Amino acid sequence: MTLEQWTEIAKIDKEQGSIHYNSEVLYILTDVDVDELDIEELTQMIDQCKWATSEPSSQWSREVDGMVFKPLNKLTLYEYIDLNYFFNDNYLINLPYICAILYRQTKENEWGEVVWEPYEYDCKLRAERLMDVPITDVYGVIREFLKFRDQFLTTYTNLFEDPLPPEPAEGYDDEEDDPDTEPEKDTSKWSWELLIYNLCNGDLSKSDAIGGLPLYYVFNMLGMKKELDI
Amino acid sequence: MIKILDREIPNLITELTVEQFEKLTDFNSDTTLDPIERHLKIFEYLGIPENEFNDVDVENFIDIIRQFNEHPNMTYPTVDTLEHEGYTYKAEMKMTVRDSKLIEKYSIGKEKGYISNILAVFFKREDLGPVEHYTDAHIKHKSKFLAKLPASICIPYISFISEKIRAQATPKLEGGDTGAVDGDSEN
Repeated sequence: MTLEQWTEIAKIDKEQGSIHYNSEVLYILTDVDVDELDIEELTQMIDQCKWATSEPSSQWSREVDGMVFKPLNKLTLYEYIDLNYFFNDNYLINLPYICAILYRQTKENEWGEVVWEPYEYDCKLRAERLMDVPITDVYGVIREFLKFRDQFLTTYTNLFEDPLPPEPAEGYDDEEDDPDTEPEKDTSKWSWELLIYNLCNGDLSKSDAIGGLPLYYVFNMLGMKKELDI
Repeated sequence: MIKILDREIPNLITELTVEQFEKLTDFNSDTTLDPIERHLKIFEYLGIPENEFNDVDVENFIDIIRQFNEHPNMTYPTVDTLEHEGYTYKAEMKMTVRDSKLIEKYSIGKEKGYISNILAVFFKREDLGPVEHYTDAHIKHKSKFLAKLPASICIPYISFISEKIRAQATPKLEGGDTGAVDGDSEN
């Protein structure tokens, strides 16, 4: 099964019932319109294709279609932000985009070191290029990234915690009653944008340079800034 | 028919219409209603206002419910041909994938008229082709007159569907160990 077929199957609305689901799966796998078949024939065909709805192995290939899996500890800030978005949205449906970020072209520089293709290409076009890759080659990257993200969030947990709300002035039960306390703005929707804005000190012409910095470097700096309160 | 508080109401499948049978099925599967509330609603729907039971004591009411639900063992012969407005509608105990998808859609949605909609998928007008059979407007047209027919017509078809649908497994991804199969991530 290809990455494209897998993604199409993941998009089927399961709420519409098992017959709808099964006939869509068969259509995706065989390109045969099963509508006029007897329901029992559908059941038999689905029995033969049960493998298609099983979760693929968590193994994955380091190299697909001439591109190499970029080690997660080498991700840049922008790459991580985009991956995080695709995972939070729906990582089964977004798997082609996830692979488009993680599998990269490489070259050797004059010192014999591996240079990674910069994150400047069209992610959509790259995802299309990867559609014919076998799902078994790339499915395991989901688990790999989830594991990495868990470790990353644990390492920098103090940077992701919400700051404590300000203490209400004496004589007030909580800050809502305190007329001098401004209501807190909900910044969660804009958290990454706010981070980049703060890192550029409001100068957005620097945002691409910041986004291209290694993720761990940025967060180490943020950790230092917080610890030293600078 | 059964006489309750001097009013005659239908209680057998052969006496109820498809529309009434569907409504009673809905009351019976409404888990928010206790048995007393459920039967007050059923009786009201069939023509006995709730306030007429105000002076009936609980024991008598329970006895009324028992009598209402007492049905003799009956078999329901398959009706496969219907005449309506000069047209012949024929049904077969056979479901194509397209039939099954529609039936599944009606069963899940449980919109008003879903049982007659399901029957409408089975009964096909002889002079029409496959495209017309499945148009929304045609299904609705058939559903409208089928809703007024005796509920006994739908029983063999419902039994047939249950048997066929049972064979279809609920879609589920199996095996694997990412714990990630739903595709949504919390962080």
